[in-house]
Amino acid sequence: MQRFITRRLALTLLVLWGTATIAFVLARVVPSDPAARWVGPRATLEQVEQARKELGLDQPLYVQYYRYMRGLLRGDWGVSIRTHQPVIQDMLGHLPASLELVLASMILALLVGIPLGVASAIKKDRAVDHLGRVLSIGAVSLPPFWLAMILQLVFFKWLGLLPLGRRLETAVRLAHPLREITGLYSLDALVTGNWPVLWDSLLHLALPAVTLASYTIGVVTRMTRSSLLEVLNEDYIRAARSYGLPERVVVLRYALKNAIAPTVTVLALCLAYSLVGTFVIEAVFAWPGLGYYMAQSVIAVDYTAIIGCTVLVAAAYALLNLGVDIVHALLDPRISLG
Amino acid sequence: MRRLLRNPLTAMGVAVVAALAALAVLAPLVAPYPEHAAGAVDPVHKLLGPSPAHPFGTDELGRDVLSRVLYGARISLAVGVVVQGLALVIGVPLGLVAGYLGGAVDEALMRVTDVMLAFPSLLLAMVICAALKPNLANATLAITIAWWPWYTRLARGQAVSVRQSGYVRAAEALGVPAPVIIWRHVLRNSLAPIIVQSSLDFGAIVLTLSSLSFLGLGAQSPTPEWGLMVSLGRNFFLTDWWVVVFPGMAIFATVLAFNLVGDGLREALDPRARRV
Amino acid sequence: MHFRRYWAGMLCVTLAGALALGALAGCAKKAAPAAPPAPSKAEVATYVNNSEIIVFWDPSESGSNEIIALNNIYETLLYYNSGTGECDPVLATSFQVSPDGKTWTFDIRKGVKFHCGHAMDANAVKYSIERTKNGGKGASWLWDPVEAISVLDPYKVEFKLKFSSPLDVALAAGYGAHIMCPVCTEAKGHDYLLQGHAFGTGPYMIESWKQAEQELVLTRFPDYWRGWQGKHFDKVVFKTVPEAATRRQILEAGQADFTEMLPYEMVKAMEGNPKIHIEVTPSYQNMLGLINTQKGALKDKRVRQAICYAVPYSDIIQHVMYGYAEQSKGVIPHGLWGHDENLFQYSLDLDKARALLKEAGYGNGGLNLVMTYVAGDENERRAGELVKAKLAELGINLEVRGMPWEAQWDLAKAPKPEDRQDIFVFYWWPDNANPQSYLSRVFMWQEPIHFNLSYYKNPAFDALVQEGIEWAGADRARTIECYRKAQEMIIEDAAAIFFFDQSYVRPMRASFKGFKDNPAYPNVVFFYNTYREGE
Repeated sequence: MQRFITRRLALTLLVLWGTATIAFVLARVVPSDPAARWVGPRATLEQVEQARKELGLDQPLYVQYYRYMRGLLRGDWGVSIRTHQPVIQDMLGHLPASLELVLASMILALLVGIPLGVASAIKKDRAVDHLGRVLSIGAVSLPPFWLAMILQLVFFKWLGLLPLGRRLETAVRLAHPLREITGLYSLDALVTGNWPVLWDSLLHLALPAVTLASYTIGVVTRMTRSSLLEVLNEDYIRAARSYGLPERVVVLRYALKNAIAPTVTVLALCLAYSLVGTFVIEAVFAWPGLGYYMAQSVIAVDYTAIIGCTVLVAAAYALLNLGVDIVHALLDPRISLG
Repeated sequence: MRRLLRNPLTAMGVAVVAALAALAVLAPLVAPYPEHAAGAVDPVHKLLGPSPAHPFGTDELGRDVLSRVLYGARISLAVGVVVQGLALVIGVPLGLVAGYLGGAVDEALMRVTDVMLAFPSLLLAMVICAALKPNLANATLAITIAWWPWYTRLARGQAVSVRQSGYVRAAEALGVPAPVIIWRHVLRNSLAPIIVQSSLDFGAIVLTLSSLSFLGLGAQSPTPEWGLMVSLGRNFFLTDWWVVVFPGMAIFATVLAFNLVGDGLREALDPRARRV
Repeated sequence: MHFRRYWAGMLCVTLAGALALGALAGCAKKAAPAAPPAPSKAEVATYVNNSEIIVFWDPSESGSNEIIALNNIYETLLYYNSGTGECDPVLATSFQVSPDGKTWTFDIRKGVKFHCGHAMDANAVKYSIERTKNGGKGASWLWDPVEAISVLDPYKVEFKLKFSSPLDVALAAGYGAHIMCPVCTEAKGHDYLLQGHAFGTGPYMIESWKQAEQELVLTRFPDYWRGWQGKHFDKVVFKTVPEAATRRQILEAGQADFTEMLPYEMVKAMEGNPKIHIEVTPSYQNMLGLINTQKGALKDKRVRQAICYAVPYSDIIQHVMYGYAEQSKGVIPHGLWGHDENLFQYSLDLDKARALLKEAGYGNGGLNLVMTYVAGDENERRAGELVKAKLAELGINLEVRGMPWEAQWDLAKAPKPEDRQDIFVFYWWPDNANPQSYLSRVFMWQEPIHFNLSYYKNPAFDALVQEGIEWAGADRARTIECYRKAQEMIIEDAAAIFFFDQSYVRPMRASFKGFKDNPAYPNVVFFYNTYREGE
């Protein structure tokens, strides 16, 4: 067991180092001059040269790499070429918005995906199951950026019910100042009892969360269905049935409890996937999260920010995977520890 | 095959895929304004709503959206085929060899794929596209780079399990050379899951390409790529919805069709598989 | 049976959820109009921008979007009045210039306070300008002609110049000329400014700044020297919303007073809305397609002229710019001194273009050209695609390539001219109300190349522009004559496609009054002058 975890940890470290290196190499071969961006389009040549020195871009690439890696370890991830702020600070500023969005979409996915999956499994090969199949495959086939725009068309333009984007109306924020604790506006508003802001933030959250949740809903539905089907065929379920336990009890109390583990696993992976999903969605909803920051950085060829975001997301991805593996290994000793 | 088509949803998927392929091939004959996919403009007729003359309306430069959507099918399908082909050609042999030989080669290769797979594929493709000049060819390359490790992983897993089977042991004992064993036994037995995975991945590739183009990192105007068309319509889709709705619908239909086929294939060929 | 109950339960949950959502949505609709009750009747003005509000907080480094907000926080000695072409007094009450145009003396306004409470005086002027000049960043080149600044008495300052130059215009510049408190700026330092602090004399001071969301809130500076009689806003909010559709929505919903850079399709769609006023003002910004004069077939003047004859100018103005532009005459835009209505203008004439190409030996076309523009700029892209379609008729294949600005810039600096682009599309606007930069920075020969991306090399042109620059402080008529002759040269040589002079199109609430566009301060709203009326 210990050997497995050590090995898995070592692998995660390798992955982190690898992603940072790949990101550095890719971002630094960009055929573009960060120094020119740094000083702005109307700068003189001398200003560009001076910026090159200040940014250390006049050094050989391996020196830059060494400095960058050293900085990464020390928590100095460089300064954004676009915003002129430390990348770490920028990312921390954008992180709460993304977390709020991702968490909301996860909750939504569970609320919709699990019942739908259960329904499909119980009514296998019946209309509900077919419908569930179409819905879940449809959900993972939707281009998220397009779904976002369609939702905007329907709920903003045609029905006039929900706002187009951003997290809060400025008027609401000014009228009811929000004491920020976590930076997740809806949560902070709930905790501090700031109802107008809570309401406004939920309105703003609705469309982006649904968009982001669509993929996860599809995955959760499929996973719940297939693992529940498997469990329902197990001996102990048959035994429970033969004891005459009500089917509802059998399904909800016995089968679902055992079938839920793979769903939770897949949910953890979806969480990581959603972090990337925000890249295309946040841009459409002007949602000032990490994905929005990344998209802006890519457009501006802001290489320090690109590397920073890449490393952060890849790290989150790797750590979630690590967590899932370790939990699995702890729960299920049959898993091969190789 | 018959078993595959018995499921109505799968049959529908197959039909849509076939129709798409036909439309892509016949685009020059079917499209009302083929020149609008190649750079011609008609600014006087810009942003007209759907009408008999332009069933899908016209875009901001007066180009027929239907014609561009039809030509777009060529791009999406072609990129899908190229990426899929390259990823298979690179990924599968590496995986088979690694899985069959094991040892240091296997270890090294798997660690490389570990690192590659630690990147979410869209993110990796984004970073590669940002580094290279953004255009269709580089987007294709970027998606390929992000994709091959999946097949290496898959093929390796198959090879490892087949290697331990009795008939491969027997063949080894008889002195059959390794390449022949890999080719004749290992590959053949790994084929089913690889085919299932490929068909499931095709939709994901189309989706990734359109996402890249949407972010401005893929195809460039005037290429009639669907994701790019949606992206260019962002400024006015609330009033001129057709510019965004139809190309997006084309992406959705394509990805959905391939996913339905892949799902059907999985149930038909590999009922135990549980990957979603 | 049991299943049924299970299902009924599930169904109930789902229905309840749907109902709740519906109810929420219903409330939302009702709540929406009641949502913006002004907080305790404070009048708030909101400016929504499409990109970062602030990149450089330090006024000595400023040179980007932040001029929009900073001009409400800081002030300059003078204000360039685009209506009269004169510089009006702000922090300076009057000034004198010597006949040779090399000594300028300014009387500084008394009784002006910085936000920190310190008094503004001649010393602060000297400090601020020298800080910017010596920093070497942003628009510091504005002060290149300045030899020395001396404080004659607490409210009198003298500038000695190396050569005659219109210093009044420089001191009225939107960036690089702001006056800041020497005491506090020195004490707190550069890094403190970067966190969102300012020590200016302007009517508004900083209340809060959210970096990630790019939201800046300003509030009245009670001791502002002009006082607060009459109607003014209490607070000013600046925020960034890159999505044009969202900007439009915010404006139409009354959650913003002023926005910019809306696609023209949207502007047209809003024209019928009585709550929205669209202000159109000619700007100093024009779009140029710099033609690589040192590459292949383009070395031949006739090929370049043929390209200029193949541009569908009126289509571009009508269908890309929706009429919010005017075809350029020369490079100095309409409305700026030095512009000449009598200069030659190319027009779409494919026959003439064909004849010129034939003469040059390209009768059948067969050329492959690359036109670069900044990716994401829809006006540039669409104009490029219209040009592409016309050139195709001449047998010329034009690739219209959108690139990030830095990449476009780097390609233009490739060591060999053959590796560079053929046509470089971009906008030019002056840093102050002086036409010099259109000629000197864009077409004068530079070693190494900076903004002369036509790689245009003409000593006679350079001499004319130089002469014009040197007389600008003392004899403006002579300068204008020099600039006219110089423009004739680049038009004849077809060193660039002169697409159009753009208008500023400002959608704002009809109730938002007092705004006057001043092309010398692009995109700036001087909020002190604005107020709300009606609504």
